[in-house]
Amino acid sequence: MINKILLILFITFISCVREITNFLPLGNEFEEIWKNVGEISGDVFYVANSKLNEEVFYISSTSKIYKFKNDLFPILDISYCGQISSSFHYPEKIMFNEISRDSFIFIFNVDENKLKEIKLPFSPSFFSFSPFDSLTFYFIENKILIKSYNLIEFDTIYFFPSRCKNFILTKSGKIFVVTDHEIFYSDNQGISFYPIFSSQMSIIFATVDEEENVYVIFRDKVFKSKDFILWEEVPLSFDGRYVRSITCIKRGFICAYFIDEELKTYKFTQDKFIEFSYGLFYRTDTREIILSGNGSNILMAISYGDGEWDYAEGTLFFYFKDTELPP
Amino acid sequence: MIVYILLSLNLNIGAEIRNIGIKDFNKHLDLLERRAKTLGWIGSFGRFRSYNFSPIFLFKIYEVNDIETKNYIKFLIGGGFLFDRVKGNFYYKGEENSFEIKQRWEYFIFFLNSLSYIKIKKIGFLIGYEFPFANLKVDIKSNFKLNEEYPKNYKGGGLGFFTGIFKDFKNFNISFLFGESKILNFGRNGKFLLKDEEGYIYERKNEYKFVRLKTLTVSFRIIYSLNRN
Repeated sequence: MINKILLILFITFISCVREITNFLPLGNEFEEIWKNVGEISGDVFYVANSKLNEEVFYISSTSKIYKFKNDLFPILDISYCGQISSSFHYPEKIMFNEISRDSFIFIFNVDENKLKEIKLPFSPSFFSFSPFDSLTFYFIENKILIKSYNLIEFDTIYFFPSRCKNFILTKSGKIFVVTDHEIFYSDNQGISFYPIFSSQMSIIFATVDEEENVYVIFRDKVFKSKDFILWEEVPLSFDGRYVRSITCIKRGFICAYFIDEELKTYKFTQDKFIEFSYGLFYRTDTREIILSGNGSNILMAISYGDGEWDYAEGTLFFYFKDTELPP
Repeated sequence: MIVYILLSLNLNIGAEIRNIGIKDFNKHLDLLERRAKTLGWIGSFGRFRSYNFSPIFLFKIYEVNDIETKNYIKFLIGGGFLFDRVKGNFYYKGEENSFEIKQRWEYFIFFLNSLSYIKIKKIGFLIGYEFPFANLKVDIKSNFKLNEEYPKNYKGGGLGFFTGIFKDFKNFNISFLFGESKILNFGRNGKFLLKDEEGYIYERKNEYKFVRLKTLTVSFRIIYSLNRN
């Protein structure tokens, strides 16, 4: 009897999952659209943009690391790897960690296909190569910024007052660290930091675009600054709490908003938000949305699956080329 | 042979002004124009006309006359066509390049009529069917790569019914018609045009809210009989 009820509930649940598509209206050729570039089974944990080639992305999934360049192809069989960071110099390397063993770090040489495993004396939440040389690394462990030379010496260089939510290292070597209520900035490779933004409200997302403008998203507004002294306030036309992911473009940012059965992507440029969701399709059991990009190439991963499972059933990928055309 | 048969029939020619319910497409063009302007494009669309002109030709198939009362019943078949075109030129200035879009939307409706003219005493009634066949062409040209390929041709068919009154003047016949004819299923390669709640028109597969080009037949016809008996 219970099995029958469960079966009916299961069938009801299956029938509830719908696919929602944002078709392009007939004759709307005024804008760029999202293009579906593939689908993989399993979850996606991180999407990283290559620092050396804007069109290349690295994707960590349940069982493999994929490389995306026009198409998805696996480059490494490794399970449950978390964050990925790519190098600023040739030969191209990617650094990643495992979700289950967070005190280990792996460095994979993409060009030579060599994998190196390193045990760290701490468990980093963020890590990055240095833009100045390929032997210097930055790590963030909870509130601490650690700099390492050749992964042998580890120097604690800064303590932040609260847990770090995001760590942004620009190509010019400027460091931005986002905490719950503040943003810290360093232009001398982390030797000294000074707060550039503080708020009593909790920061939802913060990002830095290619021209090093800083954007801070709150529930109902966005703060924007170029010199970190004058902050311009732009009201949000949607609830910032439902912004799932954000990524920068050349001048501005793109964010993905998802609530219940509504997925929209917005582009913030020239002090206004423009919605552009054409070409996207997603399921009503969407779990996570990850945006990644750096400049004019944006990749979005939309994972879906039954919420009772730890990991998603599959992930859809969409690509957007931000050309000069609007939005 | 066909031409011979047609020439042997009594030919009536004329003209008609009719109301075209083209709101769906005009609403879509409204929304497209608004969207383009939001994105920073400069330009605008024209709009389809609400009243359209159509030439009419009708062949008399048979006529039954009562010489004493001058009452008659006539049965005619024939047709006409409606055509309208809308243009939209848009321009966008990017930081390095400038972009241009030229849109052209046009429809052509060919309709077949079957009419029965019934004259009793001085009052003339008419009743008839209409079978419209429509073609919608959307052509877009630009100086950059578009998302989709153009031109797109959508074909649709439908059915109409109308009734009205008429008055004879020597060789002329003036009639006022009232009715409705709908063109459904604008389609291309198994896909059909669908209207969403907002008013945008999409090309979709297996959907049911089709775009309807409704011609509310409030029309005024003047028919001239070339060889009236």
